Amino acid sequence: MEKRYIAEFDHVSIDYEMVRLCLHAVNDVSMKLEKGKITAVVGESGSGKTTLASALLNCITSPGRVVGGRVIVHSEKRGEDIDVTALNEKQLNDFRWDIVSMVFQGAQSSLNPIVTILNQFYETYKIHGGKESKKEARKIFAKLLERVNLSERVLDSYPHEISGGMKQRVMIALALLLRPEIIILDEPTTALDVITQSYIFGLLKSINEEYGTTMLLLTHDIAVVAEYADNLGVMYGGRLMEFGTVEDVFARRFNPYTEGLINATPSLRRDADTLTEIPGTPIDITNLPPGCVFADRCLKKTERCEIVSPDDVDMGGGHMVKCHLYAEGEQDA
Amino acid sequence: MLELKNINMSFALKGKFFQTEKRAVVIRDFDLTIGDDEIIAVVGESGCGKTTIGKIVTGLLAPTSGEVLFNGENIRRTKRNNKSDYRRNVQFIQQDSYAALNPVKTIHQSLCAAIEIAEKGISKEKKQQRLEELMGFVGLTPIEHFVFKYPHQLSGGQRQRVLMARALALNPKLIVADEPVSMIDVSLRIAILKLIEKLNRELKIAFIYITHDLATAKYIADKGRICVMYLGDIVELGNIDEVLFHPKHPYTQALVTAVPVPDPSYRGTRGEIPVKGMEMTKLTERGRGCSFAPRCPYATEECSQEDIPYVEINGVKVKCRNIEEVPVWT
Ligand SMILES: Nc1ncnc2c1ncn2[C@@H]1O[C@H](COP(=O)(O)OP(=O)(O)OP(=O)(O)O)[C@@H](O)[C@H]1O
Ligand SMILES: Nc1ncnc2c1ncn2[C@@H]1O[C@H](COP(=O)(O)OP(=O)(O)OP(=O)(O)O)[C@@H](O)[C@H]1O
Ligand SMILES: [Mg+2]
Ligand SMILES: [Mg+2]
Repeated sequence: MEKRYIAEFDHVSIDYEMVRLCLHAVNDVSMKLEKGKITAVVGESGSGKTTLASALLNCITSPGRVVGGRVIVHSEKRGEDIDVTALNEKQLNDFRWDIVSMVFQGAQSSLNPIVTILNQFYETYKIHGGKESKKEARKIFAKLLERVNLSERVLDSYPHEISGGMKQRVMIALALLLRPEIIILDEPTTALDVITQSYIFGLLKSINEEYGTTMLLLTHDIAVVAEYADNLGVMYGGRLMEFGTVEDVFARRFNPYTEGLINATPSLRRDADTLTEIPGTPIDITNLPPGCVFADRCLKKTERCEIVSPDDVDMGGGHMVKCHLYAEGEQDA
Repeated sequence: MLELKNINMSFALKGKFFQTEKRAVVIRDFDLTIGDDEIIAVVGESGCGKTTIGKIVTGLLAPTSGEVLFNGENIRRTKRNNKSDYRRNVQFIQQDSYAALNPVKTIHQSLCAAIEIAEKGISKEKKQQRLEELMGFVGLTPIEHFVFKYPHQLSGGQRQRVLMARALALNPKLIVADEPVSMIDVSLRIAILKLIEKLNRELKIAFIYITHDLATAKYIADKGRICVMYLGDIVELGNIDEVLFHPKHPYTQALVTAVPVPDPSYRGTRGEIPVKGMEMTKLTERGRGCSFAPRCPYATEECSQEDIPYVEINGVKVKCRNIEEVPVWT
C-alpha cells in the first residue's frame, strides 16, 4: 500500500539569532509524517527536536526563526495544503489546536496553578470559537476526560490536587479538544513511572487507532520508541541523520550515531557493563563544521567526513541515512 | 551518615468543600539509613512521595513527625551555624529544572553565587577556574555558549546539568538527585550516571537517586540498594539486583513487568501488568493497611485493614501480608 503523508518538513532550517552568537538549531531537515502513524524523533538534548516540531505549529520561541525551507500540512479537515510558515497571526490561531496541537515538554508545570481544570479547558475552547455555555461545554470536556480515563470530578480540581500522571492525561485531553489531525507530544511521559507510562501510551495508541490522529513523538526514551512508534527519525546537531520504520532503524542502524545511541540505552535485560556512551562532546551548533556534524565523535569517520557534508542516501523502503559510508560512487570520486 | 526515623508527613487539605480539616498522609512510617558513601535508588509511582522524601532529607520540609539525623544529630534541633553546614552538605537537585533556576539570572550568575557561598571571598581567577571545572564536569562545554544564557534559552537536559553543577559547587556530602536524567538523552544519561558513580567513588559523595527509570536505577546502584515506594510506604527495600530480578512485592512485580524493552522485536511480548485499575487510591481514603491492596491481585480484605509488618526474604525487606500468595517471580 502506498504511504500517505499528512505533513512535510521541506529542507527546514531554523536559527536562534542572539546578540553574541547565532545557533543553527535545525539544519536542512526534510521529513514526512505518515498519516495516522506515530512518528518518533530521538536525539540528544539540544539536537533540535522541540525546535523542529515547533515549526509545525509555527510557535518557535523567540528569537528562533525559520531561515530556510517550508512546512506543509496536507489537511483533510480543511481540504487543502497549508504552508505553515506562511500563515499570518490570525490564520495561525485558527490552525493551532484545530489542525495541529502540542503537548509541550514539561507540560505538567504549564497548567496554571490557580485556575481549575474546567476553566483552563473552557478558556481554550472559547479562544477557538467554542459557542456553548460553560455548563454545556462541561459535558464535552467530561467526554474527553473519559477518553483518557479520568472522571468528571477532575474538572473541578486545581492542578496541584491531581497527580503527575493525571495532569499529563489532562494535557492530552486538552490537546484532543478540537480533534486535531496531528498531535505533537514532547516528552509526554518524562518523570512518570513505567506503569503510568505504559498506561498513557496505551491510551495514545488507542486514540491514534480510533481517531486516526497522526502523532509526532519527541523523546529520549529509546525503549518507548521501540515499544510504541511506527517510524523513527534520529537527529543530531540539528540534522536528521536517519529515518525509517522503527524496525528498520533498530535492525539496520546504518548511521554510526544511531548505532551509538542504541548501544547506550540501558535495559533491564542488559548488563550495565556493556553500556557504552558515545565519546566526545556535543557539537557546537554556533559553529557548524563543513563536513558531517557527527564526524568529530564518529568511530567510522574518514577524511571525507570532515570536509564534505553528507547527503541523504536512500537505502530503499523509505529508509534514509545521512552518511558517507553508504553514498555510492563517492569513494572513487 | 543520614538516618530517617519513623518519618510521617501529612498535608492539610484546604478547599471550599471541606468543613473540617482533612489531612492527606503522604509519607507513612518511613525508616531509612544512608551510609557514608552509599547510593540509594528510590523508585515508585508518580505521586508516591519521592520528592517529598527528598525535601525532608534536604531540610526543605519539616516532617509532621519523626526525626532526620545527620551524623547522629537531629537536623531540626541543631544550632544555627550547624544548620547552614547541613544546608551545604546536603544538596538537592530538583526535579523541575524550569522552576529551580532563577529565570532572570544567567547561568554564570547562578553558578558564581553558589561558588561564592562555598568559598567566601574567592578570587576572580579561582572563581573562573572553578566555574570551568564544574561546567566541564557536567559536560557543558565550551562554556561560553552556556554561561551567558538565561535558563529558558537552554534545552531541558542542559538545564538539568546546570543544576548538577550548582549542587557540586557547594562540595556536598550527600546529593539528593530528583529525576536528574529524565530529560537527558541516553548517551549523556550514561555519562551523567557515570559522573554520579565517579563522584561517589572519588569524592565519597553519597547519593539518593530518585527516578522512575528502573533501568538507570540498576545501572547507578549496581551494588547499592533500591527502595520501592507506593503511596508513601516503602514496600520493598534491598539489594538492587535482588529486587529487580526477583521482585517479591506485588507492586514491584507490576513495575518490573511494565518496563519497556528497547528493542522492537520484543514488542507485544510483555505480559499484562498485574494490577487492578490504573487509578491510585486517594490519600485521604486509605486505611491503615497496605496502600497497594485496592489494586493488588492477591489482596484479601484484611490487607487494607491491618498494620503490615515487614518480612525479610533473601535480605530484602518486603511489606506484604499475603506474601505466600504472591507467585515467585520467574
Ligand atoms: N529561545 C531560545 N533561545 C536561544 N536558544 C535556544 C532557544 N530555545 C532553544 N535554544 C537552543 O536551541 C538548541 C535546540 O534546542 P531544542 O529545545 O530544540 O532541543 P531538544 O532536542 O528539544 O532538546 P531536549 O531534548 O533537551 O529538550 C539548543 O542548543 C538550545 O539551547
Ligand atoms: N504542599 C503540598 N500540599 C498538599 N499536597 C502535597 C503537597 N506537596 C505534595 N503533595 C502531595 O503529596 C503527594 C506526593 O508528592 P511528591 O511530589 O512527593 O510525589 P513524587 O513521588 O515525587 O511524584 P512524581 O514522581 O510525580 O514526581 C502527592 O499526592 C502530592 O499531590
Ligand atoms: Mg526538547
Ligand atoms: Mg517528584
